[in-house]
Amino acid sequence: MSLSRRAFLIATGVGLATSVQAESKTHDVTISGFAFDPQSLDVTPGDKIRFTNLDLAPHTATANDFSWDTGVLNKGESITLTVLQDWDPSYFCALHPHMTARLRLRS
Amino acid sequence: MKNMIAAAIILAASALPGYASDDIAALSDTQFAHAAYTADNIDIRYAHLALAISTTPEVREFARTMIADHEAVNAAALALLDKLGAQADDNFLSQKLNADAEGIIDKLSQLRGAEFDRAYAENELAYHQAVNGLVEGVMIPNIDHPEVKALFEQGLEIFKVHETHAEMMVKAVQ
Repeated sequence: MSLSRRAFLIATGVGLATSVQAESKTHDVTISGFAFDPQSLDVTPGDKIRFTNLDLAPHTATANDFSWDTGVLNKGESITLTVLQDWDPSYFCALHPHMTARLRLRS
Repeated sequence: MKNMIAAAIILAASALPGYASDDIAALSDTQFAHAAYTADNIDIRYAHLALAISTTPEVREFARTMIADHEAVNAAALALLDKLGAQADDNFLSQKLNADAEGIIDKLSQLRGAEFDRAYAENELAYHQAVNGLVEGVMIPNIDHPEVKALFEQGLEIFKVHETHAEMMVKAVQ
């Protein structure tokens, strides 16, 4: 059976895309009871983190060096950020600074 | 003179209304809701005053948190009342809270710099201690509707965090 050029390119492209997608993950961090869960999370640059606030109080997830920030999340709101290589792994809630957590960035 | 003003603020805030707990316990759920909404708005007013007067980062950060959190609680309270088809009812406790707050705002607004910061921080700590005690010890045990009770419990969790945050702010501005 011969494979058309177009079909070959499509098949190859799909294969490459599937390969890249399999390497990046989406992680969930929930904010509840004035705490981030999990407190420590292993991530790789390119991964996504979905921050969801379950508290009545608004919260943020803000890098200690302010290099990344979810902005204010009200109750029930989520935002998904893509992890970058130069991210500060330590973060806190800008409205409630005693709330802290940490990412463990894999190279 | 200004130290005496600061002391008067703290004394007034820590006393809270001179009514018996029984009188407050006898309030209805919609009157409790009104009093809680009033207490939230008072702290929001204090916070706006702090943002207008203070240049200290710890004080400004605390004030911004108070506005964000108390506005969120009030929005939830209004949404719940709307859902229940009820309206918050004015009452003696709300009126006393407002009257006392006017006096405190008048006194705080005369202060500047470090004196304002100390007076604001100490007032916030005393206010949250007093209100939290009232909410936990008198209001919540006497609320009938489970959803109203649940909202008050969520609010109390937030206000206890505020109390701890206020303690840190008091130390920071000493």
